[in-house]
Amino acid sequence: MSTVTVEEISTKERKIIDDKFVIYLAGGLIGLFLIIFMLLPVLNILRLSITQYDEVAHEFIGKLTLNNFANYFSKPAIVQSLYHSLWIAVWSMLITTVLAFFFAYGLTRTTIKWKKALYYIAMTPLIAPSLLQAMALISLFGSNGLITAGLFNVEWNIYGPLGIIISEVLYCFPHAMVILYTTLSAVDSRLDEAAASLGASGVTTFFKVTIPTARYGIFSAAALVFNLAITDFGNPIIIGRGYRVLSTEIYLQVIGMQRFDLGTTIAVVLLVPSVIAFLLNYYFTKKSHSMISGQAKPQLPPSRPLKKWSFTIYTWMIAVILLSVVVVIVVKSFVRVWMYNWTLTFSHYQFKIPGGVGVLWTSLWISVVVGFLGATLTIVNGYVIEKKKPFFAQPLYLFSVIPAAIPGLVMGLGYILIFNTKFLNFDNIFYGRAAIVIINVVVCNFTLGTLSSITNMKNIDKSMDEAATSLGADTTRTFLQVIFPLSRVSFMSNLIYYFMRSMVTISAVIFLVSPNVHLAAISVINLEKDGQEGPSAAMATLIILVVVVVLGIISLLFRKKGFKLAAENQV
Amino acid sequence: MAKNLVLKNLSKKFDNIYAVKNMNLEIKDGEFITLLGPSGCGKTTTLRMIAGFETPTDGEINYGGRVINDLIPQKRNFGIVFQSYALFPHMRVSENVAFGLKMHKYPKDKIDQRVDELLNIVGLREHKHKYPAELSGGMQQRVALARALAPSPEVLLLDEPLSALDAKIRVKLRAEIKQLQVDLGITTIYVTHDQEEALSISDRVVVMNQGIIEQIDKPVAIYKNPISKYVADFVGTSNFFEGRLSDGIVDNPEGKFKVTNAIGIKSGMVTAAIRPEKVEIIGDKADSSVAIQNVVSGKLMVIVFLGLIVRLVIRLKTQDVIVDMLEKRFTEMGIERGETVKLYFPPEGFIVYKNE
Repeated sequence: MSTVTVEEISTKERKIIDDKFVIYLAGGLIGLFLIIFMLLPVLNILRLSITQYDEVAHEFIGKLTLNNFANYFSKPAIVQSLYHSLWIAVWSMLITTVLAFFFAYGLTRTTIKWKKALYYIAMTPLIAPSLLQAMALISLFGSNGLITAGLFNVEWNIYGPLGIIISEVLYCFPHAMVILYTTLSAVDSRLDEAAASLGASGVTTFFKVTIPTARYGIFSAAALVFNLAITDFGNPIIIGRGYRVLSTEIYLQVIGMQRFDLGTTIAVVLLVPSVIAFLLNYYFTKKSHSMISGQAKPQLPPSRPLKKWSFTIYTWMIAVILLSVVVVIVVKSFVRVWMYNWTLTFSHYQFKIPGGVGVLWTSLWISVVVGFLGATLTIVNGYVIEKKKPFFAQPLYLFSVIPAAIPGLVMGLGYILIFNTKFLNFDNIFYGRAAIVIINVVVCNFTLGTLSSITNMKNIDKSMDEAATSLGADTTRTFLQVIFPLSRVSFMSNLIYYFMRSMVTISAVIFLVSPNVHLAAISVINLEKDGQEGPSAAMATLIILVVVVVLGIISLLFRKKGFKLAAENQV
Repeated sequence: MAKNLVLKNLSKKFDNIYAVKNMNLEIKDGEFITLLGPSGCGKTTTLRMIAGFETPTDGEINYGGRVINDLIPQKRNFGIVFQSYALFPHMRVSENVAFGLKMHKYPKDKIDQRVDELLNIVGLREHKHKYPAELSGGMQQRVALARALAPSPEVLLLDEPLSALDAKIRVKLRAEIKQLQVDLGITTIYVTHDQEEALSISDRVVVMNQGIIEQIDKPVAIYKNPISKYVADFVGTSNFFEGRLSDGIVDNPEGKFKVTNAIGIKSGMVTAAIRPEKVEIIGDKADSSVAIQNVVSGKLMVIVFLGLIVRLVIRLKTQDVIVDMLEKRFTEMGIERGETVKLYFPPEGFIVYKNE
């Protein structure tokens, strides 16, 4: 180092907005947003469920009462939907967790080939609305199914509880798989090796070491599947036929009979198991993360041939089933009449519905807005909660995780009950209807976005913030110039997540669409219910296509910057 | 005008536990002062209060005659260097150094010049286009130093800046930091748990323990006259003998030790401390000529060669004693491990502390 004299720098007087003010403003606005668009609609449903309802005028009258619940429990047909829901959810949970566990085990603990391909195939249910599974099952096993009617010519069909359960298993599979995959790759596999070296057989090791060390991951996956299955709307409404569950019951009571009293009451009944399942999931996820060791993963020893082959067959069997759901729908969209006329046609792509193919563009632009808005809000939220910790960080965190506990259908019902009244009607506002759909999707998926953003913030060293601050940067500039660039990967993955959710979501927005704003996923359900199976398959195919294309574009854009990002991650 | 940094009765509580308690310290303009202590002693909390990242619970921080307790960090114009470097990984070296200049609205045309100037000082001009991840730890910390100094801060705060580095680079960079500080004449507060680092680099050292200042003094004075048993133990190495003091003699199971430095203490339970280099080994022949008083025999257990000196561990009846002596002299004496040796503890070598 050489000797120098540093000249005095003449710095201009700078205006710096107080950091606290900026953080209070940002956090406060997000908190207010969640209170208005999450807490109020839900509380309102709770309130209305104990409010007197005029069945003739279809209006709530101010008086408080427990009649609605008495009403609910006095109608055996409706009460049955609760048992149905629980039955479906429990079986879906058991089957999905077991299937997904062995799939994840194959990907993480054996040396089967093509793991990446298998992983991506397992994710395919995420890129389509949650009724694709039911549509495919009906095409194959319905009263006019390719296998039931075509191949075996039997009377038996899949409608009812069995169909719902199988659909839910297929739909929930990736959600459970991701959790179990993370758990099994994080838990130190050397424990297995240690057990084996101590003389334990493969089976003993599996039951005494592998399963117990992964138990919290298993429980958390199970709770999540239970929650998803009990709140799902798309699959049961398509394949359930007479078999009613809570979510379809809410829809039918509200849309079919204008019975908002029963709608809100059933919504509250549905809230109970879904909130419990969410709390369990949350608890076990925390437990599971605390067991993850930061140890580097050792190379897996080659699996024995028997193990390797059984897992190869097993994983590909599941992969083929998951893929065939998509393939069946795509094929169906291109044939004139499924089962009767197999000639190729594009006629199903000329949609005779309000909005026509335009609904796809509506869905697309809404999803792009949802992507950016959701990713932006959640990254700011994560920064405020994890890095700045204002005095209201705890309640803000609480509000941010609640949405995952609220079924989308309940949230949607809450929205029409509070934002579409005599006093406040969002159709009267320019783009009001689209705005409410966008806000609804952002709020419904706020939990995962915020949690992943918090994890990202935890990985950014505290001194980054302080270094920028000590160099004279205020909060806004620290965030924009330091924190945000370091969170680009997290931002992009949140954006993708929001975009996908928005493209495929049904239950959250089914109450919110209107003649002005039609969404592609809702059109699929309406076409299918209308018996227009060809066009509905075509619309579903288009949704999948759009999602895949957008994902492809984003991953291409990112690959270009891949090198630089990798270099940064070494720090 | 000289701007002193004064801490008056400074306290910081976390959950009702004092991290720093009633701290009083005056740091003179241009002084290099080190806060030394084990982890949890409050040194980093003190630094963070000075930087503005923590708000004092009580007391005041006064800089140049102005209380700055509530002044936001951005306006303090203090440069900070972190243990983790905290370089912005997405910016090149030059962008990192320029960051503070941009934030301070430094004239655009002069930023490049200033960045080059700083990178010259730390000897990294040719690396200006690299990203931090492409540099070694030592180089990264030099960049961090350049970045902190770029906006001409009035005070430089260093939070264990060398702890993450290899021993060799640590010694080298420490000398460079000292040289730079002398050249710039910038008031510097340095936090470390490494007593050797503290003694070698500072004008004055503040030894801290559980949120309280134990001693403030020049490095030599701290080493030679540790004010408490804690300081004697934490700074450098000491041998301790506990016993009852009466008439200038400490009565210990190993023997009766005459002490001359029992200032202010007449009697009672005390601990007598003596540095390893003060203890002498007396050869066999000399046994009759030296006073029998303060001589104890023990068995040589361990010999550690440290270059110029050797460090010996000698086992007495109830405890071990560490003795440092010149390697040359040790070799001349020809003592082997396992042999019994006689140790002489000069009365003036002891410092006596009253037991709490």
